[in-house]
Amino acid sequence: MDAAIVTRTLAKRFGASTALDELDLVVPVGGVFGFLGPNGAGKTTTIRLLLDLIRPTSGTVSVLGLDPRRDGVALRSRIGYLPGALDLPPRLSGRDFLADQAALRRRRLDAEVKVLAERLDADLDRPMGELSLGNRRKVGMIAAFAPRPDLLLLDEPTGGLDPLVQQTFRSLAREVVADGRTVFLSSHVLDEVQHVADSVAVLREGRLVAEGRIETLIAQLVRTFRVRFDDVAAPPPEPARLADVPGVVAVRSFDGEAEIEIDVEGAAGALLAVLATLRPTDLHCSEADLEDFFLGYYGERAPS
Amino acid sequence: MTLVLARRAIADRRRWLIGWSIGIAAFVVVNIAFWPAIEDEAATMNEMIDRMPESLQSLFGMGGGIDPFSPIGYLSSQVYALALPLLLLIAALGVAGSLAGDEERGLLETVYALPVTRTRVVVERWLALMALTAALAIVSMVTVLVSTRIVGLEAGVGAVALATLSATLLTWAIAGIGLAVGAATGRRGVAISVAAVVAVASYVITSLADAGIGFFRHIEVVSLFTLYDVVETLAGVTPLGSMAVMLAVMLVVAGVGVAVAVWAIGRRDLRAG
Repeated sequence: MDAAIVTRTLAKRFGASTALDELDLVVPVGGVFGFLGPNGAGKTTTIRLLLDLIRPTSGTVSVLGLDPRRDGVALRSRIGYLPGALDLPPRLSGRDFLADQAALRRRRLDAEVKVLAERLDADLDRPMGELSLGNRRKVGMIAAFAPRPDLLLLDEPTGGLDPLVQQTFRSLAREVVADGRTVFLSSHVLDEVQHVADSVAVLREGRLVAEGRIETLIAQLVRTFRVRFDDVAAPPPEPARLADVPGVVAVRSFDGEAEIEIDVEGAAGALLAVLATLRPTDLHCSEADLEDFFLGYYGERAPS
Repeated sequence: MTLVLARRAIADRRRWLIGWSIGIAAFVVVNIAFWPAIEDEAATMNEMIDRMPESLQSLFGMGGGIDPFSPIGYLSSQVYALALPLLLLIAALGVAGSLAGDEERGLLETVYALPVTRTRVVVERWLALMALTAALAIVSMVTVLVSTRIVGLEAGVGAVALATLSATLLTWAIAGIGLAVGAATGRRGVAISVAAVVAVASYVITSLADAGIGFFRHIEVVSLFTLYDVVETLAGVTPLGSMAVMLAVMLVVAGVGVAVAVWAIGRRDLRAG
């Protein structure tokens, strides 16, 4: 399989601090690749290395078969980039900004911009400084998707977007993949990646700590279910009764409380089947975030 | 090359350009409007100035064998010796500093990520700087020519044009240094401060050298203001050859500044906004 991105022992140090430490990453062509990690893990640093905005301290990078340093212009003509900290000229309208972007690519993208603006319901006429964060990100997204690049580098793309736009974003990403093109999607929230990525790599403190299919990763995740038993006829069960249910790693109850907490790794089906017989009044599941994943991964789960 | 970036840098400064044009024109008009009143007292005042020590005279942009209250002396000391290049320089350094300033604000992240070389970004910003300062210089020149004719201050078109050209090239030379520092550091504040220090130091060195202070006469060759002999330019006494050399040196300094800027920005990491 062709690789869209290959890095070999890629390292980046800023003074004394190591942002990226010997990263070996292979991103296949076609598909959405999720690049996960908590803030400060080195995700943005990696993306900026791919674009030759910054240079490696050591190691090599190859993107779409090209060297970002030597073939920067040729490479960047095939990349669409949405920065995480998206700063846009505040007095410029989205339309003028996008016209400049197209002109700098020596392309005519009016038709593509128009379609994307309609799908995202973007306001291209007001100065971008007057737009909300979400509406500015729509402009950034149009800039990245409109040229139909071979590789999309999207840094935390859906932060600040409402659910409807996130939906549109996911369809856009799937359309890119249907074309055989590649999306490289960084995020610190699993949820942003979960519904759209095929494979993922997880970065922590500049090192790759996990890599593989998204299902495999989710199977390792620990989520916490909070279950209420308000009905006096159906009180909370003894923790021991749930401890043997497949997937359950811990059960916590609190004296006199109608609520218990259950940590579950991977699929929760077995637990739900058991809970149904206990007549709970309410159930809440925490969003499995990456911090949980890391804590689970390293077996460092803090006592609660 | 379609100069998208240069045109955008200029379009972004439409109001800036109008504001600076009005400011510079107003400054010129106000100063020249006083000429008729000064002219009446010229004889007395020239006598008074002649009695001042030469060092003081040169500090105020006088000297060079030209009476400060002669038409050329007045135009030089009031407009060209210091104030006009200073105004052009402040305007130009704002533009030169914006290369680093926009990078600091993260506004160039979406530009450098495009199929565009860093060299092109620097060069187009420089072209915008040259165009904007040239526009302001032309405004100043037209205002000088019109207002001097209204008040009857004699100044030749060629002499005024040459003085304006010298002031513009002096501005470009110092702005080129600012551009280079900004490109090398990615910091707007550093770029503007270093260029401003170079400008002030140059002015002080040349003035003190003109005042006959030995030490400064030895080092005045390092000062850009030494090349800017505007009283003599206005009086038309500078030989054309040495005029050409002065202008060429300033252009070379500006060119070296741009070359250093291109070289330096190509070697470093761009700042994340």
